Amino acid sequence: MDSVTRDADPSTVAGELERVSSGVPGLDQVLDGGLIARRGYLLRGGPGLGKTTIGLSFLLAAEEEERTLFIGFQEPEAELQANAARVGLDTRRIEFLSLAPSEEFFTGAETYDVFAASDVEQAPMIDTVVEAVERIQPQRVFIDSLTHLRLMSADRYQFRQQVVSLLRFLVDRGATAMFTSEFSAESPDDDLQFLADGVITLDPGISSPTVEVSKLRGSQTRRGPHQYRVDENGVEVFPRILPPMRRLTNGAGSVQFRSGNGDVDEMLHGGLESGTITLITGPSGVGKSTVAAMIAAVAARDGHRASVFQFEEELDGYLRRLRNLEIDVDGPLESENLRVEQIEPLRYLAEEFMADLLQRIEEENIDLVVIDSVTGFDMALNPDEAVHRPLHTLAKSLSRRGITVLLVNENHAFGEDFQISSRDISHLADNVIFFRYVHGGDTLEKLIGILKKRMSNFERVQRRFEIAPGGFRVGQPASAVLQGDGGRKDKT
Amino acid sequence: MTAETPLGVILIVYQPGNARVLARAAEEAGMAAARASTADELQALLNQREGHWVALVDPSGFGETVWPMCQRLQDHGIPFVVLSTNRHRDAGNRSLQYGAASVLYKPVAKEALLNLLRSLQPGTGSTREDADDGQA
Repeated sequence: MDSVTRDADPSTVAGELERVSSGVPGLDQVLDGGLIARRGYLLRGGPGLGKTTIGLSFLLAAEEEERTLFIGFQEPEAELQANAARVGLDTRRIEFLSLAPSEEFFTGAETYDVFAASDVEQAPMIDTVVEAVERIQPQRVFIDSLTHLRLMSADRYQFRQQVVSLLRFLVDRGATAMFTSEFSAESPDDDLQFLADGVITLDPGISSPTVEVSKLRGSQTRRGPHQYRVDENGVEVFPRILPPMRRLTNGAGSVQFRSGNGDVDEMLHGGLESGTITLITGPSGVGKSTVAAMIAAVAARDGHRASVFQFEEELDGYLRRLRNLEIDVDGPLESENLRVEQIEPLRYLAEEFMADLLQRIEEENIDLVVIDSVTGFDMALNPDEAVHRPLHTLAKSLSRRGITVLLVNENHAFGEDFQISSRDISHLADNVIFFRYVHGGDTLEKLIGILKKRMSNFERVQRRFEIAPGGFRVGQPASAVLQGDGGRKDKT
Repeated sequence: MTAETPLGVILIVYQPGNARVLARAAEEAGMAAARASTADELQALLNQREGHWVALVDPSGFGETVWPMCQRLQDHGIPFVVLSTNRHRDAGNRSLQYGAASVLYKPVAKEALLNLLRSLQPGTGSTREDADDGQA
C-alpha cells in the first residue's frame, strides 16, 4: 500500500477510486465493489444487529501485510475475541485497544462526580488512541462506538470537531475507518451521517434484518434495504435481486411443455410455451398441484430439467399422492431430471432463496420451475410485505432467462364468485389455467379452463374434470355451466 | 518552602475516584496533591507541611466526621474549598460556618477549580463570588 503513488485525493490511485472489501459476503455488491479506501464509514444500528461482527469482518478482510486496529469502548479484549470466535472469526491478526471501563469503575474506585467526563476522560483517551495509531500504523480501523465519544464531549460542536479531526487523523495516515453509532429518536446521529463518507444502516425489520447503504460519496450503490443474516458463520448480506431488464434468451416459446393429458393439452393448444409464467389458480383441493406436477413430470420425461419447490405439503405425502394418481414421478426423480424440494418456513430469507435458486439454475440448466404454492412462498419467505415483490422478482428473473415458471395459487373463490387470484399476482402471468367448483345439482363439480395465453390461441370453454385413482380425467365442455356464468369476475 | 515550591493541595476526599481525578488535575497543573481521608491522616499532613497549602473538601461519604477536619483546617489557617452537590446544599452552607473560602457544586469545570485554588494562595486573595464561576 505504501509503495502506491496516490493522487491528491487519498482515496484514488491514478485517478481511479481504490476499493477495499468490506469483508462481509454480499455487502461489496451493495457497495458497488466495496468500500472506497481511506475514507470514514458510519455503521449505525440498534443493539444485537451485528455491528461488531461486521466491524471484525471488515478488519479481517485486510490484506496479509496490512495492519488493523479495533478501538473498543464497550467490551474488554478477551470478551471481544471470545464473541468473535463464536461466529468463526479468528481475531489474532487484529490489534485491540480496549477503552472499556474496568470493574473498579462500578465498585467505586474509579467513579467520580467532581468533573464532567469531558474534563477527565477525553484527553487521556485521545492520547491513547493517537499513541496506538502511531505505533501500529493500521490500514483499517474499527471504532466501536462513537456514541461513547459523544457522551464524553462537552457539547455537540465539540463532538463534531472531534469526529472530523479523528477521521482526518486516521485517513491522513492511510487508514480506512469504520465506526459505529447507536441511535434513537431521543439520541439521533444525524451529525455523524453528515460527517461520514458512507453510511451503512442496519434495521431489525420484522422477520429479518436489513442493511441499507444510504450514502457512499463518489459511488453508486445498490439502493434499498437488503436482507442479511447473522449466525454462527458471521454476517452475510443477500443483495436485493432485480430481474434482468429484458429477456436474456431468444428461445421463448421454442418448446411447449405438455401436461400429458390429451384433453388439457388440447385446451392449451399444445402446451405451455417455454420462458412463460403460468398461474395455475383455484380453490383448495381442486387439483392445481396435481396439474403442475403432471407438467413437471412430463417435462422431465421428455429430457428437460424441472424443479418443484414445495412450500406447503410434506414431501412424502405429496409424492404418495402423485403416485396414487398414477403420475410417473419416480422415473424422472431417478434420472434427476425432476427434483422436488420441500422448503421449510423461516429456513431461508427471500433474497437468499432467490440467489440460491438462480445460481442452481445456471449450474443445473433447469428448464421449468414450479412454485407450490404462492401462499406458502409468501408465508415462508415474505411474511412482512403486502406486495409480492420477491415473487415478482423471482418469476420475472426466471422467465427472462428462458425458464418456464408455474405458480400454483390458491384462491378462495367458490361457485359463482370466481376470481383469478385474490393475491393480485395475475399481472405476472402469461398464461392462466383456472379451476373452480360449481354446483351441479346435489354435488359440486370441478371445472378447468384457460383464461389467458399470450403466445398462442387456446380453448375458450370450461370443462368438467375429475381427479381419482387412475388419473386426471377431463370431460365435455361445461356449456350448461357457461350459460349460467353471469357472476364471473376477472380480478386481474 | 521557597517561591519555586509548588502549591500544595490537601484532598479531603472519601471517594477514591474523585481523589484520583482531583490529584491528577492538581498535579497536571503543577501542584502537589496529598490525600487525607481521616482526621489522623490530615493531622499527619498538617504536621509535615511546608510552604503554601490549600485544601479541597468533598464531604460526600464522610458523614459528620468531615466537620472536625474542616475545623482543623480553619485552625491551621489553611484556606479550603468545599465541593458539594446540589442535593446537599445544606452541607455547602454548613461548610461556610467552618470557614470555607468557597463552595462549588459538582461537577465543576476543571480549569475554574484550579484557578480558584491558585487564587487562595496568600497574596492572591479570594472571593466567594469565584464559586459561581466554577460550575461546569
